[in-house]
Amino acid sequence: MMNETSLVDLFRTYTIKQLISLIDQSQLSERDLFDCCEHRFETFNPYLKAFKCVFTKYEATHIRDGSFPLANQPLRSIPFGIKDVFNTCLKPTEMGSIIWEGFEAGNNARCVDSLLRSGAIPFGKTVTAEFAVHALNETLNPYDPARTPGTSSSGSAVAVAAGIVPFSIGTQTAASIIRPASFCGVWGMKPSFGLIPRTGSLKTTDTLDTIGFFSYFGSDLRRILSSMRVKGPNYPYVYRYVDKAGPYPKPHGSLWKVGFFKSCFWEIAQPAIKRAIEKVVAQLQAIPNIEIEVVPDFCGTNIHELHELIYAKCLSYYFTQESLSEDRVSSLMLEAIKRGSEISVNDFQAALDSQSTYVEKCHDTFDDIDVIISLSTSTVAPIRNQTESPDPSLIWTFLGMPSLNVPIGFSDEGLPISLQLSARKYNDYLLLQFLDHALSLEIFRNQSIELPTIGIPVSLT
Amino acid sequence: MKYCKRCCIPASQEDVSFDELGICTACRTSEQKMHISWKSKSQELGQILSKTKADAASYDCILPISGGKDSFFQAHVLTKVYGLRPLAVTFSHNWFSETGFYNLQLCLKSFSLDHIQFTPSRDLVNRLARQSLFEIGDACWHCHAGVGAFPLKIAVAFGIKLLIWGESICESSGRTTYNDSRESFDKDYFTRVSAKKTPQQMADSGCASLDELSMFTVPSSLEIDNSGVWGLHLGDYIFWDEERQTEFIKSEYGWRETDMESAYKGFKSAECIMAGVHDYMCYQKRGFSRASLQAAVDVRNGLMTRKEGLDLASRIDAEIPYALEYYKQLTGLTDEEFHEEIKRHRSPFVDPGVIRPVSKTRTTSESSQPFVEQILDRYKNSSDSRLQSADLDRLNSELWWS
Repeated sequence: MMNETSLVDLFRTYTIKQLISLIDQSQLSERDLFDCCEHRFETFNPYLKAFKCVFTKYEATHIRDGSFPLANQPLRSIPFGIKDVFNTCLKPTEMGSIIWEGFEAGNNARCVDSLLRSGAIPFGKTVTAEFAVHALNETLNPYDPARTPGTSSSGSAVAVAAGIVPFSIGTQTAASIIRPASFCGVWGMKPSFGLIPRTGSLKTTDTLDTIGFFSYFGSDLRRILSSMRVKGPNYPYVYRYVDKAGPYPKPHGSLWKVGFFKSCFWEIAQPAIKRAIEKVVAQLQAIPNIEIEVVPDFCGTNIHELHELIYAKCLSYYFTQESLSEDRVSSLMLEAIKRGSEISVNDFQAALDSQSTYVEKCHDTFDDIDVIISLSTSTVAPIRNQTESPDPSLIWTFLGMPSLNVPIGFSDEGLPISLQLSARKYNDYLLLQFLDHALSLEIFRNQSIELPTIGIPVSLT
Repeated sequence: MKYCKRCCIPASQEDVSFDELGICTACRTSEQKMHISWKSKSQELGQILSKTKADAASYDCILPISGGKDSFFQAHVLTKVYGLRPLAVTFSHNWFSETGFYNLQLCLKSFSLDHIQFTPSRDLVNRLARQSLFEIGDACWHCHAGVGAFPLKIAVAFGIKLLIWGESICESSGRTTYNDSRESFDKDYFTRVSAKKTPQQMADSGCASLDELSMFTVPSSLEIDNSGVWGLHLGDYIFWDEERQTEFIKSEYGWRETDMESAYKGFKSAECIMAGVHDYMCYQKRGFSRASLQAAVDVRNGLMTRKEGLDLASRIDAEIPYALEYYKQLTGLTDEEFHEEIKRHRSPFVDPGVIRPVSKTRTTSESSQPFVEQILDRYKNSSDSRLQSADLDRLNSELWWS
């Protein structure tokens, strides 16, 4: 049996694969895992406010078993957190808005159901920014409560950082997975657009909303992705480019071509972040089968401008009704809706056409590149409510390309620093293969960044 | 042609409307689903079904069933979740595929269903399938009319008051939305929306007598009122997610998909060999077909971009299905006659220049011949296997020496 110390911090000690193996060997039980969640929730959540609500063990098991788990359960008994923009058959789905307080959808979003069928156990619903946009919520950054945890999937990132759950799910329309993952020092993945169905989740922007997830260990990302994504001939693009063909797996010992894309935000990035990324690039360059190529800036701030236009227009379209309750909607949201309403249909359409052109063009831009290294965020977590720098990761959301947040170290202030790895659309498994390669070479650590005592009362660490 | 700015639905879709941003009805409906309390809806359903169960005599309800993904899932919900005893009623189009036949039998067995089926004669089906092209520009009048009328006739005849269909009419038809008020039960829905012509009108065309079409005739309003028969769609009470439901019935019960013509998903209308012909006619009339509808759903669900959806659909929608040969054979129409007639039904929204059918090159594992015809062909001219010499020796030896 496990000793008491490890039982209270299971998810920052063992990977998902190890946890399942320990259950198989009867050294752990599903009950132990859920108890660990509850213990850490009771310890940390009053302070960090990562979860909006949690399920009882009975409710969680009932939801999971009601979804008829498959015989092969790659996430058997593994608890997870659900951003409160996904419908769940029990507990409210409030989408971070008081307008929808107490709203009980009564169905599971399809990706939630896929996880349940993989044997995972829902632990609770995590705090989101209002309608998954950007208004800062009550969740605190575990490294420094004075700083933002990053929005909008704040609760999901913090829940993993604090070891309350081993993984959690979120959404990204701009940078809502990569940014909080970076600010909280955990692994995050935004898969290619088209891999995970959005059925039963909040819509903000059709061409941008992408479902993704956070995990404490990098090696767990593949298992989570495989449990959530669609497969088979009913999804012809995924079947052709992900299931059946593509450059994955690259034969052992082949050359990896790694692009280093600084983007126009490199200039404003904090020196500590630039140094940390350049150090990783230098380490990679020293490896015989890795070739680094600097990718020229192909978009400037143009993608950000187009993104802003599409995003604002869609918010004004999808949240017309909510905007009528002015006193119950944040000023940030109202401003975005107002901006969107002033955008003409023609300008909106032109921006969508430009997005489509960019998506096509980037196939050429990254034609012979396997993996791209870029900034996750240009700063460490800023002080709450301070204006944040533009999100470099928004570029990959716009282009529908998969991206990972890779925690790589600390700044002088003791705040997490990350870099971002991306790949061409549908090359998600190639990206994860590169990650495995880099982990095996110890360029990256499998674990997320260990939570120090900084900013958290000693009693809670 | 004008398309929805969000998905792949064109203006030639029947009853579609676009809002100020150019978004179609089905897209708007798909977002409404997110803000409906399905918890309250399912509680409402629970109350209806409890009362039905308490009031019912022999069977609790009629389950119109084809063995397709929706009716299979309905059977699961009604029997396993709500503990009802439905009477399964099938109007057979007599075009069952082998996969469809298997799925129907599997459904009856999995849920221990009593079953009534009506199968119109091959000759009548052939005559109606031919006239259907001329009347409504579609091969399937008999199916549209039969699935609407036959379960209602059984309900009235046996005094079973409730019929339970599957998908809500709001779901992807684009004809109405969850926010629109509408009649909860409309006995003439199938006639109005899909069959379009009454049995009397078909009889007037001379292809069949009214007597032959009695099973295609919806009971009168008086009969419906007197019997107290009414119906509901499960999709108005539970969050309808056809892909999730299909995954579920496949893994839990062994329901099977197949190669569908004019489509890229293997589950829609898997029971019918003529679905591709139906959809190809839609392409000829409206410039889009099943693949466009499927791509539209995938785009809404974030599973492909609109451009990917339009590219994929434009290739598949234009394919001439293998089953068209069977259709021409059963109707006696030449290729030229068929295409001349279908052009007459073309939507004014469609530029004829964009209709460019292509020969199909994709292979299919499903025969384009109805499964029962395959069985008839297989056995009709084959000799009695017992009379083959090796078997005769075996039979003799087993009969006399065991």
